[in-house]
Amino acid sequence: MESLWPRLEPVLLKARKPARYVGGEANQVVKDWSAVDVHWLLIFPDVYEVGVTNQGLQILYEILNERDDALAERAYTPWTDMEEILREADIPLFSVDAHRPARAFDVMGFSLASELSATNVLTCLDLAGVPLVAAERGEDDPLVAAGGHVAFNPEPMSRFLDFVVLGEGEEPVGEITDVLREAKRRGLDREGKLRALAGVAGVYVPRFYAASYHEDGRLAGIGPREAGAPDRVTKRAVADLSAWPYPRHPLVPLTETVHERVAIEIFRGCTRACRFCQAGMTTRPVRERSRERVLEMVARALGATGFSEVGLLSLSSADHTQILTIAREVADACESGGISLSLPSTRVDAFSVQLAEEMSRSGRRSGLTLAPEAGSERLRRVINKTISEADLLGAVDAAFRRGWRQIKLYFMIGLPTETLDDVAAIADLTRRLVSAGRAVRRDVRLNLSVGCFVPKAHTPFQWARQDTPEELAAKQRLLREQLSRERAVALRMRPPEEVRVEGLLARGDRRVGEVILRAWRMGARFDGWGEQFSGERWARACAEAGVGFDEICHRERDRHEVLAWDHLSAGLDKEWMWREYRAAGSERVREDCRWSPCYDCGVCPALGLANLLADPGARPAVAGDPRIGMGQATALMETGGARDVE
Amino acid sequence: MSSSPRIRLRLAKRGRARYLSHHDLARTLERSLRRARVPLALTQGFHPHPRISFGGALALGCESEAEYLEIVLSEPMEPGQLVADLNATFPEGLEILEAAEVPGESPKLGSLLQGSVFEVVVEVSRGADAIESGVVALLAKDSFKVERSRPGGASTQEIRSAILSLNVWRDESGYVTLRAELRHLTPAVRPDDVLLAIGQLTGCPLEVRLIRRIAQGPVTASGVVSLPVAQGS
Repeated sequence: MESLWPRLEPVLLKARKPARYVGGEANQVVKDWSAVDVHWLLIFPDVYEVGVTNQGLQILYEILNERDDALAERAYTPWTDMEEILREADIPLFSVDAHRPARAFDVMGFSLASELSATNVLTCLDLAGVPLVAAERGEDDPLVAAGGHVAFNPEPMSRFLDFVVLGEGEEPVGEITDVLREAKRRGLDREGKLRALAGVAGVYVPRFYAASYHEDGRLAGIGPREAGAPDRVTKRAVADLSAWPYPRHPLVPLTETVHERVAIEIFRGCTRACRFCQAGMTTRPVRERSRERVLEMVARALGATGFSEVGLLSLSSADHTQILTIAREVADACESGGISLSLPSTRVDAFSVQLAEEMSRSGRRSGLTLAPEAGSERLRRVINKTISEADLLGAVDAAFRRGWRQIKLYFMIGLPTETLDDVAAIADLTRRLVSAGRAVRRDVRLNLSVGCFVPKAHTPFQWARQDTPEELAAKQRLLREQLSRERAVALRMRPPEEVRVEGLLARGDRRVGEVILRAWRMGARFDGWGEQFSGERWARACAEAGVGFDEICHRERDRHEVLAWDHLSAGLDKEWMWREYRAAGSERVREDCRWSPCYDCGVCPALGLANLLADPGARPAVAGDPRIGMGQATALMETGGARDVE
Repeated sequence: MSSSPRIRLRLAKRGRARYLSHHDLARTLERSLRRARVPLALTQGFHPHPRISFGGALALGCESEAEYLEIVLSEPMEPGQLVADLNATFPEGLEILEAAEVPGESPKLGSLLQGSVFEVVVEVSRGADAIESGVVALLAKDSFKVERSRPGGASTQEIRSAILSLNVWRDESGYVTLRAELRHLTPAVRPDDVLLAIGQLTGCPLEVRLIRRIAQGPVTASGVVSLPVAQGS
């Protein structure tokens, strides 16, 4: 397959940051096109410096390239200036690895990590010269696939997709390659290939499903209309991550990216059961890597990349059963080489600070982020983010004592049952944290990032009503007023209009596809990039497509209503999610099932899996290291409210 | 060899590596050095980082046969081995051409790299003669100012004082090559500034195909002398 590089090079310097388009990263793989059967183009639909660091894509890239029968290359969405340059010069979308034209690949696989990148998918398809609508594609067009968190409700994107993979890609990507290799050998046509793919567990072929609607326009049902397509597609998840120690050779970008580090996934899944959290719900159960494996992976990745920072990643890294040993040993191993460590964690207590301290021993002190999510304990019980104010004050006190000057805090507004009092509680709490900090040092700074809650599919809040932009704006005003005189506090908030579109794409049904198409045609690009976003454009697209924000976002759904994603499963029992939703309303908390009896969320039996802990005998780790001087241990699990009784 | 040997390297930047900014190149070099397990000396203090120093920046999009950098090692390593190890880990387009230990008391790179020789390949729409007459006209002047647009806004710069020599020739493929010896000034005068001037003097704007730095070093009476990497030579 011929390279587009000779055509690209004469126009490349017209683009801003041309290094986005040249590839050539250390550890990139370029294989002989004609020596393999199946050609994958893995696409992250955002700009290069965001997409290239994506773990999921790098994992699949390596797994596929290790196979003899396949190759994988990568593409990202060209920034708006480059889109124009490419159209002008009539150059199609290309892979950055060998600059091969996107349309030549067998599969264009999109990693959907953010709802607002929907229009970037269309840009990629259009630049590739592939018809946007799946039904209009011909035998010479690639199969267009999607996976990633957003693919758990792929319905808004379904008319653009030939197939969707639910859940973890390590295993299905190989099975799909097998199916496509055989299909090509047997000369199957497009329809035949898709029929074969519908037989792979975790693969959803939207065109084999039909939706029906009630007279009032509400969804009546969605189910297979093709023999061989399962009634319900259930996500895939690997039983044990130790079989998949990827990425082994992470890509080393030549230009600056959002994360400049080796990222090691120390566990997957989360059993904290925060009711708003789609990632936490859809990645169950917990599967930890052992301390030995983590150390091995860190050493190998550092050697293979030359990075000088290591991030130990997961949804809540401080919760790993061996985290103290891991932090200590990784810090020991890195101490001599000027390597710094970071550990993003959603946990909020002094233990997290102790860990952060441990991690900064070897080099640069990384930023400290705490995520209380809600301002009042009441609301934290609603969302099941079960931390007490004492935890939070303890964490902040410990951090300032240990030398941090600024802390980043994550909050959300627009949560179910939230009142203006709850919003004001964010400001109150922040002021108390500032005074707690000032008791230790004068120059403290709190950086507040206040997000807007968007109900997501496959969570207990999937039935919840999303605040309107007007409601969110009023809450944002309140916060701004209350914190305007706090010089130690910086406040960051998202435009509410953007949040509404995210909600539309998160819980919409197939009819939202028309909205996306129209918004894209009106010029929607990089909608997640603030300055590119136009709420007015999306409102117009909705009006033209006859789709209402009120219907999809701003109403509470009925218990028995058909949800657009009911034919897709993350393994969670819908009844359990409903009970959790009710429990939220009565402020009952749910414990972590690693330390408490099973409460039948349904995932383990549905997938034939179980929580896999590196140290099965471990109890929740707590702050207690005398060096921190905390005095008493802070319980990991703070059950502030009544226990859930069914 | 001293216990913290200082190694000077000459680096080529070609092909797709020419799209790396100076900042990108620095980062890429540091990572390549780590991958190659070159024993780098680290700075003391709270943010330890490798001791790497660079000569002046090359504009984005230019190739080079003569970028210079110096690194300090934490223990001795044979320069030939260092070159082999580093080149084996480099991304496509970067290559160390030579390396040698320099005495600790040698002057800093910045003071040695006083001028550059550039070759600029130009697409010629209206004949090479125009360029030649432009070169003659420019050299005949004592001073010449160009208006240049930079990301920070437009500015006017005097460029004639940076020009040590200009030569033009046409190759078989029909491209015209301009060879420019430029003195390093602050702010820097770049080869594209010279082309801008020639374009203005002849009324015939020039389309640049490629700019390549072919040598860098001290400025002597006879022009720019390529800085040797090895000491004493």
